[in-house]
Amino acid sequence: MSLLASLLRLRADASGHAIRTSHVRHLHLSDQPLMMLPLKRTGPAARPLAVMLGTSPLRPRLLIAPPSGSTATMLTALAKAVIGHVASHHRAKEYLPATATRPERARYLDAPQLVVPNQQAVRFLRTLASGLRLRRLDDQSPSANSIRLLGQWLTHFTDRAQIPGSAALVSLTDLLVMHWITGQSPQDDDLATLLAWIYPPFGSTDGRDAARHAEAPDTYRGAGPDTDAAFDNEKLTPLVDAYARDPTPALQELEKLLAAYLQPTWDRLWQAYALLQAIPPTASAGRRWAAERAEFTDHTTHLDQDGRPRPARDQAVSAAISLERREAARAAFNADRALEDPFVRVELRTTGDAVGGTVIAVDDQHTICGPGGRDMWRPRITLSTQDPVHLEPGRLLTSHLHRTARYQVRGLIAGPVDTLVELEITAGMGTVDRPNHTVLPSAGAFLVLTAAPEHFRMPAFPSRDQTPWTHGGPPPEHLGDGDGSQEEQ
Amino acid sequence: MTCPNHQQEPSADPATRTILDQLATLTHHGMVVDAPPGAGKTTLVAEAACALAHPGAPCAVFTQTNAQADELVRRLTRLDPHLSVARLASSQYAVPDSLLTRPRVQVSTRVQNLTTAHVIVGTAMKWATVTDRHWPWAIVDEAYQMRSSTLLRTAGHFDQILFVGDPGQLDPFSQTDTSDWRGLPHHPVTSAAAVVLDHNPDLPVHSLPVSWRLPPSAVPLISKAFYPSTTFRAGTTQAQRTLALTIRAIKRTPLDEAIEHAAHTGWALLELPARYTHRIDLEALHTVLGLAERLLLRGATTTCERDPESKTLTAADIAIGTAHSLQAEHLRSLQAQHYPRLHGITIDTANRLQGHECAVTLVLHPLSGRMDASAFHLEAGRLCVLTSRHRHACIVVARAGITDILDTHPGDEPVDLGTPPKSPDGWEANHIVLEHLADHTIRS
Repeated sequence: MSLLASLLRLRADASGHAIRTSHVRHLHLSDQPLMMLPLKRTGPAARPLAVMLGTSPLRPRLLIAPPSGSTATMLTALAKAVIGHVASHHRAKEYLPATATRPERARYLDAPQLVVPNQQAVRFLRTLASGLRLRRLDDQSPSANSIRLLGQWLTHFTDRAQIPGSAALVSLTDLLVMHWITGQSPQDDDLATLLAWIYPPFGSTDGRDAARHAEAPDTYRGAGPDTDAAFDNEKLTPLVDAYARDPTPALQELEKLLAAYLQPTWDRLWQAYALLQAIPPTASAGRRWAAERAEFTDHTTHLDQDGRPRPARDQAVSAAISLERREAARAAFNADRALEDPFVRVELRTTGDAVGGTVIAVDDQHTICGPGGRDMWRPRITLSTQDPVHLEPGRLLTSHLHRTARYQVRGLIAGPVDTLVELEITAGMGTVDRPNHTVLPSAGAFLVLTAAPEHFRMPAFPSRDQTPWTHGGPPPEHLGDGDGSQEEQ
Repeated sequence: MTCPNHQQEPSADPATRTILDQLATLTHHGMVVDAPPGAGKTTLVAEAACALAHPGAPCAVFTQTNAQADELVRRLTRLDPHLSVARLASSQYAVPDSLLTRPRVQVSTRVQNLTTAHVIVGTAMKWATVTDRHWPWAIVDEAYQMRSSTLLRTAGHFDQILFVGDPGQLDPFSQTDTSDWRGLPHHPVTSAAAVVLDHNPDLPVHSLPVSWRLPPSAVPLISKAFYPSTTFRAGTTQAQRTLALTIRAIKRTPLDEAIEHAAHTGWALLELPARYTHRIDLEALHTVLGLAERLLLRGATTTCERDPESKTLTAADIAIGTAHSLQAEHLRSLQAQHYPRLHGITIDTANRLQGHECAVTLVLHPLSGRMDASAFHLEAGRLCVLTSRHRHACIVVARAGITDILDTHPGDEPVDLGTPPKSPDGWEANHIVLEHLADHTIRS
């Protein structure tokens, strides 16, 4: 947490009102998301207790797993709901022409979006998914197949959730704290209290007051997937015992209990969703969603043509590729956020990763000797700033006003009050005869520069069967029947 | 035909000699050499590169940073003036003029242009961009700092690879979540040396037994705290390494006491009153810079086996090490504004001081002023780098109360199946170092 965020948190606490930080939304939000509110049983890692889900706030479906015995019926119903939602996006496609690096391809016009309350729910779905997708197909019943397919789709969503900037599976709590800072300590980020801070109900004096009410032990509802101990002991255990004696009435009681337990959180989920959907999305959110649609198309194709589940553990090559994709996505997402969000820029300036300052000198005659011996025009500017700049010489910066421009840090001169930052413009400045003046500023202009996104592409990793001896050589073939085989797709 | 190295003297160090002899006839895919701080790792890499180089089939050398690559090129040209050395560099990186003008050194951004070189030196990231090549030998320097995923890109281009590195320094890291791969032998963020040893347990492993950098006063502690399984000894004697203060202080401050103690014993801990501070603890930062300035003002001189005549300590012989880059940045700007005498001093984080050597190190303790310890601040490699850069003395600056932070630290790091426990353990290493420094504490 930056010092600025800590300061705002203290201010929110002092005033009792949540503080709005970011006024733009960095993730695409669908008009018809599949909202999912899972609950798990205390104890086992991935035994579901119930899932409330639906695409409309008014008609939630509640699926209940019996306290003991097989969960297949519940999982089959869940599979039907999730796969049905996914399939509703398998309709219209668009065709993208071939580019220099990629052949012509098709892409679905929309992709499914799952929305859950928090990171814990994402983790629970991941654990559930890895168990389901590798289930043995002992009985070839249609339900066994659909449960396995549910595992494969949940794997797709939870894998995408690992990619920064992806909106395939959205955790609402994480998205809320991107836009508001409350007086709540960040460790206690919880849907009920956050929402009380941000959107206090009528009758409460301020956000802090509302949050205190929301935290009152007798009415508080955690957003899952873990249930709290008091609920387990006082409500759930008697019904579990009753189920052992006589299943049918106990199951009806359980359904009634869980419906009442989940309903307030369900309403809050949609309230939070509506709040977030009202925030205008950024241009790059749309771009990332287009990439998401391509991922969705690719996964659909994989399931149709190959169908083997992702193995339990990555092989050397797939792990390295996956790490590289995550790191690239993280860098690109951070760069996009800095370019599109004034609050992010301000925060980066306080930590020294961005710089804002006044142009005090412009050398528009400066040239360097290029590789072919030709002179290349590289105008230089000097910024004077009071920001705590921590940029090393050689770093490439860009400006949110002119995104193709690149300013390379040449040096820093620390003074008693101001720091002078010497910059060389390496791209986007036009030509000597027709300089682009947004990029080549005049003295006195105020510039804010942030880290430039990197577009450098490394060559591909070796293929799986070319795994070198250092990493154990090529791994054995992947059979994909879920019997503990650990190969990649 | 080997490279024209006939004029070269055989290596003085017997351990290096043994390794070079075995390399010539090695039937395994590769070899791993573990080297403690200052054990002649760069010398071994240079000599091995020279011995393995063939015209037409050059020996590839991987370093982790551009500065290390430049230094290695200089070392190679000094070692054998007839050797044709190439520096493979990224187009983003400005190669120093001193290399560009050196005879028999080629510099290029494309490996295709380097056909006549005996040895090609480049960073691991640059080598990762080379495709469709096949050569007999590669040498990986600082193999414990290179990611296994970077090695995966290029390992297939070589028949045999020599890995050289210091297992006690900092491991590679990633800012993204890597928990998916915990416990896998081919974890992409594990080190290149670790992944190779895990998959090839029969690979010969050597270690260099003598530290030529660390003074005899430092070796027992560093060896015990950070290298419990491969002990090493000092290559010099107490009498060869001296640090003396030629100017007497008129009024002795705690700073003077600390540098006098360090000059005498090789270690000092200057303890500031206990206080919780933000990462930027101005009092501690000024204390560190004040210590450096006092060393120069007191006319510190050193003698060592390289310079038996006494040599005056300059700012360039001192390094200041921190845990966070923010602290290093702040120190640098304080130095520029308030301590002009210290112009030329090295101030950097532990990550960037890896491979650096200096006469005296001043360390801002990673746990100083903190309320709690964390995996980052406890990491053994971080403290190891900070306390093993010096040839004469190391002075640590810290707020009082670190022992309490360690004692109350709950050991709640999750244990993962398949992940061997970290050796040495950061908590334990921190305790060993503090216990040693307890005898060298000066309170301010």
